[in-house]
Amino acid sequence: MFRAKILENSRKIIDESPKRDKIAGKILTTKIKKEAIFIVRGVSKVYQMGEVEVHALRSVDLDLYEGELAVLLGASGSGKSTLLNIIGGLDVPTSGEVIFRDHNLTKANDAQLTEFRRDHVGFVFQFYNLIPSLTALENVQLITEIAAKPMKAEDALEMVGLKERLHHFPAQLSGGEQQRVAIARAVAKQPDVLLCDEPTGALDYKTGKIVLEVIERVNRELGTTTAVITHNAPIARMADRVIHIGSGRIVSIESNAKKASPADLVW
Amino acid sequence: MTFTKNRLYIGIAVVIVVLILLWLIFRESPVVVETAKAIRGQLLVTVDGEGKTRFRDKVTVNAPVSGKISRIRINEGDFIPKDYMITDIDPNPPTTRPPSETENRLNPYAQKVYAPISGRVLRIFEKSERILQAGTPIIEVGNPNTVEIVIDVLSTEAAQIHAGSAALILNESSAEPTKARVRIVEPQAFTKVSALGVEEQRVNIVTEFLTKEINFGDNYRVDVRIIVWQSNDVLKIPSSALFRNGEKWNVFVLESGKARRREVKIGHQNSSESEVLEGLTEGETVILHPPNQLADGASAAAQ
Amino acid sequence: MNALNKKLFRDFWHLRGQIIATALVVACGIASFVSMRSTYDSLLKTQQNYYSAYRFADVFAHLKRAPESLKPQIEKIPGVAAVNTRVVSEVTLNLPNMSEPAQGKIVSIPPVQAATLNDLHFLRGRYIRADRSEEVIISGAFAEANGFQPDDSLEAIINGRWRKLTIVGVALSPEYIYEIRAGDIFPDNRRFGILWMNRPSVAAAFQMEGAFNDVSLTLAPGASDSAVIENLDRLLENYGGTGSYGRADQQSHRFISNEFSQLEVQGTFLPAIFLGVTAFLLHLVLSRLVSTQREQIGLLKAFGYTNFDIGLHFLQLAFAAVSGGAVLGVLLGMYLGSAMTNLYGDYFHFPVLQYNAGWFVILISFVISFGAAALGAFSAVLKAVGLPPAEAMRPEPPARFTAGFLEKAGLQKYLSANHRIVLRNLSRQPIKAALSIIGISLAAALLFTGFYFFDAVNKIIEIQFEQVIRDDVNVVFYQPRPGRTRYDLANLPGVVKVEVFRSVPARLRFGHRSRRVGLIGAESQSDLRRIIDKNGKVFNLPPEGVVLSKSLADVLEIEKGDKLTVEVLEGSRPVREIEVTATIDELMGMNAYLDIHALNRLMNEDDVISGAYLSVDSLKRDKLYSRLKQMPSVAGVGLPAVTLEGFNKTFGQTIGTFTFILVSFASVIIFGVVYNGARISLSERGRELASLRVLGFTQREIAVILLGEQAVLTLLAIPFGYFFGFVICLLSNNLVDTEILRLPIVFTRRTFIITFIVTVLAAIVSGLMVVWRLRNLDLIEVLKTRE
Repeated sequence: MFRAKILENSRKIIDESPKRDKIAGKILTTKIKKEAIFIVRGVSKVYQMGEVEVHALRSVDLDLYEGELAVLLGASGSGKSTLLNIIGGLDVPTSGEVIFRDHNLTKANDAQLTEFRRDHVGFVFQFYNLIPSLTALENVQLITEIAAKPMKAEDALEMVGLKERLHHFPAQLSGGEQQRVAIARAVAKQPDVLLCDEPTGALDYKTGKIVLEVIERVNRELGTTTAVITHNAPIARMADRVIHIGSGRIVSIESNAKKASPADLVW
Repeated sequence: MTFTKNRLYIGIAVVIVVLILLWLIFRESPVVVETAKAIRGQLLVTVDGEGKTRFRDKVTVNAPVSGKISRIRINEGDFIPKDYMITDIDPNPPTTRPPSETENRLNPYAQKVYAPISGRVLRIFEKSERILQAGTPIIEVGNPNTVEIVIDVLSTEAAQIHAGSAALILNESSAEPTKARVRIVEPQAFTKVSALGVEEQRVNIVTEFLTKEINFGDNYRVDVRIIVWQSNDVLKIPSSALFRNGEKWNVFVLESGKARRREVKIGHQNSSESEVLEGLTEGETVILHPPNQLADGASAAAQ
Repeated sequence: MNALNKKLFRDFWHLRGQIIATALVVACGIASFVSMRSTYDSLLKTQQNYYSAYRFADVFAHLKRAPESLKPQIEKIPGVAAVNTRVVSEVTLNLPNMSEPAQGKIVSIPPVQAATLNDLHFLRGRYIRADRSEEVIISGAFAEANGFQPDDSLEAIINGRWRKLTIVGVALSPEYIYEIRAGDIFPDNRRFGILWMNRPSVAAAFQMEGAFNDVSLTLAPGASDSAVIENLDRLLENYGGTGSYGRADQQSHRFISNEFSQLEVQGTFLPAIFLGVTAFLLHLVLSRLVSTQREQIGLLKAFGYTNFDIGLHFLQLAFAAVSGGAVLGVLLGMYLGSAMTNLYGDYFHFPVLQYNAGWFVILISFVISFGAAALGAFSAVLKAVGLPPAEAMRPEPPARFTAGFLEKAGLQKYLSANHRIVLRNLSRQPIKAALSIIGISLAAALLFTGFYFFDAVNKIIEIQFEQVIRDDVNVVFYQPRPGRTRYDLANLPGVVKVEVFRSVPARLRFGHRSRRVGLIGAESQSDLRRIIDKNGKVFNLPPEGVVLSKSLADVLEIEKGDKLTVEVLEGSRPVREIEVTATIDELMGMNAYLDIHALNRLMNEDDVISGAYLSVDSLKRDKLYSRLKQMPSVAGVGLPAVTLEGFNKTFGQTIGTFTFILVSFASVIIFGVVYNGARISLSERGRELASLRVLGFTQREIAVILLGEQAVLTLLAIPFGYFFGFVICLLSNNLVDTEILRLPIVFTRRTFIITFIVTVLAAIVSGLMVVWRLRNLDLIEVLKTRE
């Protein structure tokens, strides 16, 4: 059911894009802007950590648009991870609503959220979270085996430049390679949404750039709506929009008229 | 520094615990045994058997003549003096008239029957008036003061018994055995089938009481112990302490918590006690019915 | 194979040490289950087939003498199907190469072979010939113990005369599956056997032509045996019937049934312990696994794996762990089962003893193994399933440490840092510690119970053969003999002391309860045969009244001071009321005692005896035996020392094997619990321990910390093991047929110590295996991991 809509929408974007050259930006951007894939209204999150009560989010409103590359920027503890998790259906807000296309995620039960994640969302986490007892290939296969219309695991790994490392275990891969496997895993299922939580946080400069290039490429070539969390401001230049988050609130949202390519980023 | 010292203490403690455990396992618990002391005292070797009492002075009074005997008025168990008139017999009873009691009494021709000895009436053969032949037994009288006991013993055992041997008579009712003495060892042996169904040669022994005993009736069954050997001062132990080692007798002596096997030389024995000639001193403790597992040197404790 | 299953295999391989430890425990549990149940099933089936194929009777009766013409009246009793009348008698046997007198039970058989009740199964040889009165068929165990073959001969005193008998066949009968003399508790197959002889010659020998003194009958379907028994007793009353009884009281059947019920219970109880420990171990292992794979689980959920997928994944791990053990257990169980069945074949003489481990037993084994696995995995799986993905991927908060009792008591200054770490860790996870303690204590309890069993048997032997029985020889007469027989016995060669007894069969009644026993008239102040209670205290018979074993008093629900109705089933068959002057808690049998004179008075008879106990000078023993063999009045000669020797030899053989198995099984449990506990601790605190190493603690010191925990648990478990063992011993005492014997409660020092040593050793060995692993602790790697 969701799938039909995705295909329809991607076709829309593909059809629209040649027109971008003809018409000067505005109308189309408006067109893109109107296709909100996620609608977040009044979302708050409070959770217990040991004996401490933490207010991670305070009444957040946000729209995410189809096909955009958004960067959520904020200091650590600002609530950006929490917001991403809630959007991705990994966590449930204490109050508020999250709507994905026409479906209210906050009213969904655990099984429905699981189905949602399986069919629509790809995650990339800061600490890769690969299954240590599976090879790179198997880690990707783990996800493609339950996906409805995945690409071949080998192809996803080739896309991230790891064709030679298919049968290595995570212990035998460097940090950057592990993160690339994580990305391959996330995109192999061809999700509608790619959520990345501090993907370059544990990596050095050079490797981090490579990872961002992959993310950018996936967003551009596959049209996957992508949200990237970082605390590293320069990275925000590669986004369509930058959403500043602080103390559990959205402080400001800016759009980048011109997206920088990851190769150009310096931090 | 503290670590090494601690380690030393712990090490010592562990070694001590291990040693204690080993000692506890391998130390055997003492076997519990029944014991008795070797004491000096009397030992009797006896020939035992079952005897029957009888009154020596026992007479069966028979009818002196044939005729009609009067009803006998005395009863069994009555005591009658010598020459007591028991009854009379009319040798010529009138046949025409029915006999009447009083008639015989007054009949001067009726033969009177007198008790030949004084004693207790043991048996009355026929109480009522009737016609009988001469020689028919009328009553049996016995003098309870002359009660004696007859016991038959194996001829092999009789060899150890002689006139004058002491004897003890046991009776269920009396707690203490009654003393007696062998009067005669009959010379003639006879064949008898024992209670186990075996034919044996036996000899009758007659014993008499030392004192006048009137508690024993006639034909009572009594247990008799004829003393064939006696000593008042022997060193003795219970026979249940003895066991064979080859042909020799051994005992286990309990000294300082250990069972020690010792050879002993045994003299006279009866079923409960045995005379110790060599191998034990007075006051030593011996183990009765020694258990099979008891070995020389094993630790043992009295019950 | 999909990626998730590959992960399963690799996790399995990674945990192989712990899984093997768990699988071994499963194997032990299943092995004990399969071996005992299959042995039980095989024996039961064999017994049932044997009984029906050879027409084992339902009701048995013995009497003095009745004419054959009574038989139709017995057949007419409602509920009776078939009736078999026989002439039966005990005789003294003179066997070649044996100085001791032996005993034979002569049982008459039809002169022409026909299908009868309690029929014979031939092992060798042939049936007797009608015209040959000296031919006999002997029982199997007796033949085997003496090496008899057809054409051998033996001598018997039959009716006062020596008769030479020729063996023509060796056979088995369902009546004597357990070939034992009436009154014995342990078979002496060399000195007792059944001799089946042609009925006309048996009848002639015992003056029983046209008569019988033994009846057995089968019941019609649906008939009640108590009604038939009542009718039969009434019919036989005038013929000296001593009371009929059903299979439950038949000597051979009774022993077998007792054995069966023990097998059944042990086959349930032992596996339950092992499988309980298995569930616990799996719980430990899987809980830990779920904890360590917390983030992986979160990830899988993040990517859309359902709770069902994840739950199943861990459950499959549990099942896989258990299946290996179950397979091993089934194989081991089948091996042990067939060995056990063979062992039973030495005591219970069936024509064919087939061991069959039914499919059902094997199926149930797997079902219960998986059940235990599911039980153990339950909470772990639940935890895995319940983790919200976002939370799962967050690091676990550090363990909460508060001031425990140690701090509150101010004791911490007596312990070094490592000891404090050990104790605090233990108090932090009290449930895990408690379960470990229970696991180890169950193993210790198992050892304790096993060794207690030996102690109990030793105690019984000690009391029975050193305190109660002190005679060297005892004799029983065919007919009651006069009292002076004691003197004739004393005259026999070698006889030192004689104590006599009188015994009569009687029915004891109190209220609506009754019991058929042998009344024993004994001498008061006896030395050779005494009445001893289970504590070894000697009891002296009072001159009046009857004294009962406590077990008998309980069955009759009678107490000291009550009046018992005694119906004697012999002689003039007097019925009297006698006061119960005492009850004694004896170890063996259900006995009723009177002073011998009191019994004589009760019987209105003179000084009469049924038999005697003799103490004998061993030097003259053979002479005595030879005399006893020739005595026509002697029906049987008992030799306690020979019986005991036979028992020790057989029992001694089983002890070794039994101990080995017991210690192995218990060690497996301890190994499983300690090894898994330590490995998991290592996994939980590997990082912490590595940090300590980095900080300068030596290898030995961290080993102490790791193993110290297990050491404390083991030492704490031991007293609990004693306690549980004690409870189990008390409970299992009720399993043994209390009518035959009662196990005394005796715990020797040796039992306590061996339990302690084996438990501690097993724990030490397991611990050392983990320490060996510790050497490979890669400090750097461990420090790198985030968790």
